[in-house]
Amino acid sequence: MPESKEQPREQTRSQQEFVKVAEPIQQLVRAVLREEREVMHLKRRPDIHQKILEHVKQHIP
Amino acid sequence: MILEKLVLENFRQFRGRQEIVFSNVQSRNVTLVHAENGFGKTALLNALLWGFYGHDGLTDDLAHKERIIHEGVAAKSRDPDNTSAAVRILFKHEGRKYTLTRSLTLLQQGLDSRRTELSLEVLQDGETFRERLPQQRILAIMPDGISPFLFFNGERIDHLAMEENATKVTDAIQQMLGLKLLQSAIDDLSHQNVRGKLRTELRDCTSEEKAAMLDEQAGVDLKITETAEKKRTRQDNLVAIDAELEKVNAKLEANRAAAELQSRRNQLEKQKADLGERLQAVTKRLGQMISDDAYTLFADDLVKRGREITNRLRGEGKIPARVLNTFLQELLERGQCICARHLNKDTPEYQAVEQLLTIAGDQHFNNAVGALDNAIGVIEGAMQRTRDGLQESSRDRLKIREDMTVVDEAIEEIHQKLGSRDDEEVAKLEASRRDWQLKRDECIAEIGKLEGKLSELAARREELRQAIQRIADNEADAQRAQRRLDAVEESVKLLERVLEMEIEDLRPMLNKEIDDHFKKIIDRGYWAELSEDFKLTIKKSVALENLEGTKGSPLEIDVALSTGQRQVTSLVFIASLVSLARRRAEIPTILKGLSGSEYPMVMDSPFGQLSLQFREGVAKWIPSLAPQVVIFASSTQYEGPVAEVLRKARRVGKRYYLCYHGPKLAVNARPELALEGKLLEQYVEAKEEHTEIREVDA
Repeated sequence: MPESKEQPREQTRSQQEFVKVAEPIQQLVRAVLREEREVMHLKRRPDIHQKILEHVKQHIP
Repeated sequence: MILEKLVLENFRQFRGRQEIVFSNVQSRNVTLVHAENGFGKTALLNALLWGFYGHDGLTDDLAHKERIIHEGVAAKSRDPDNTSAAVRILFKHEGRKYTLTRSLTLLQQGLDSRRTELSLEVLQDGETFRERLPQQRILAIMPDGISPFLFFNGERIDHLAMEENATKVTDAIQQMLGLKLLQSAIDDLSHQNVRGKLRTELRDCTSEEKAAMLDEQAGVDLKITETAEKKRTRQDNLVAIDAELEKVNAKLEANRAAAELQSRRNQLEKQKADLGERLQAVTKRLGQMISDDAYTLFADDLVKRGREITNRLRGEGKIPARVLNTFLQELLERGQCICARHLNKDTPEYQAVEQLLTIAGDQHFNNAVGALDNAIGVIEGAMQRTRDGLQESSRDRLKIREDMTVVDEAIEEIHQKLGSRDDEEVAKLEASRRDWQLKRDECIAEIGKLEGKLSELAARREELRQAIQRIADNEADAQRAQRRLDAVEESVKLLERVLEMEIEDLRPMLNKEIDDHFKKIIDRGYWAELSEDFKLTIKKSVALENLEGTKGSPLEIDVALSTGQRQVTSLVFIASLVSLARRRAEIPTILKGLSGSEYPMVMDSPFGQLSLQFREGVAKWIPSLAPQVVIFASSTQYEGPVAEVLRKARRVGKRYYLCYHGPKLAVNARPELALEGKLLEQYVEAKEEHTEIREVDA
């Protein structure tokens, strides 16, 4: 495969801030954002809190 | 999202199957649809909105929203269950291709036209699947809050980006740039059902002391929620009060007996707002100076004593030391002097060097005195600077306060004059104005009070959080519950910091984007300014005489824009936002999809109210900002500068015109469309009304 000529991008300030926290917190935040992304525009989203709690329990054993 | 194709079946006046293929080539990103007024431009815009959002998406200017199926088709139908209207939209978004189909049978239209059938097929990596929750998916791709900014009637958007729509604008910005996702995650993580539940789990298995603290923290959280809600209500009230005040001001300005004084008052109020901002800046500067350097003003005695000590040591020859003890010790340890003599213990040479140690200076002591000497010099310099700076800032503050008093008195005088006018209407308006003004002051004071309370509660919450964290648990269950609660707290804090940084970085970028393009189209020395809470104002600079009657520094004031200028401002704002969302989509963030995305701009009659000069600017710049532009324009809107600019720029990739069949041609509508030297038939006399979409060479 030809080597990519693209230079690695400089991290944004928020990315730098994000990688400063512990790995489990990063994973938890990613999981919560992924979950939110699906339902954030809905007026009713009854399961979101339960799903977040499940992610907390999964990532922080 | 990039639109690929729109297929209509019996939708409104579009009888049978009709379609538009949108241009999605970047260099030719404009799809142009020519249509005379009354031929179906609004229906076409609404076909897209109905497709995406159903009945709720239809625009207010669409008459008889419940009649979706072509009237002729509906009237002739003998089988209402098998007669229907449908809109199919093909689009791509983030590497996937979607086919959306919304339909409505005549039977259902008769019962409730809001209940439509919707399906969404997705093609990804060569495989097609059907979305289980199609509306949810569409809203995730293009939230309904941003649709008024992407699909709009250009003649009705003059107020879209202006201050009175600040809440909608802020919401759209946050949605398009992905900030709403962060806020939503913060809110849900902090929710009673998440954080509260984890706290209860911890409370049930921890010590009594910690449980009591957790209870108090829950109470504080509740108070924070209640206080924030109260603040939001007051802020909404303030917006409503401002709108009422604006109405009264407009009436006074329109009244011949009050116009001059009202206009003067407007100027004075702008001046007052400017003085207020300057006062805030000076007070902030003063505060900073006091916190950084004010200690130097109390260091007089210490500096004097320090100087005395260093002078005395210098007089005694102790500093700088003629010889350092570390140097002599090194010679003794090495056993050789610098003159090359051996320094063996108990020899006179050894004793001579050892004797020198009694008068040698200590290296650490020398270093410390040197540092002290240097610090005294720095403090002496800072003392004078601080004294001068504080005096200057205090003078500035006093002067601004005096100016504010003069402005306040002038405003009050105007109020007295207008309030005592014999003209009953003016006196009544003035009394009403004062009422609203007092309500406004009261509301602002309440918001300030609530903000103070919120900071106190936040500080207490943080104290409790730290105290709770410090109490170690012995039980494994309690330790785990504490870890989980800490993780949620840390996640919230991280997201809050990320959100703050994203806003800090994005606001100036959006401001620059808007301002650059605004200046290209409206060349009057105006500039666009986006406030910290994303409120857009257009400003200009005026040289004003100051209160003593001499020429003062120029004052920045808000511009009262004409309808055309407001329309341009809104168009530039939307295009800049779409452009920034596209660029942001290319920046990798902590999560794919957190950032913005590509969106089209679909504009019905965007040139309607604009002067020729503005039309040219809009036609030239808007297509270069948005990834895809769809324009519906009548021949009078298109002819002239718009046609010229689009032809020169070779931006149009696809072109259609609407051909109207009906018993009568609307007033001002032309039966033929003149395009590139050809005359195309766009009206056909017929008994039954319907519109046909016809393609022409781009």
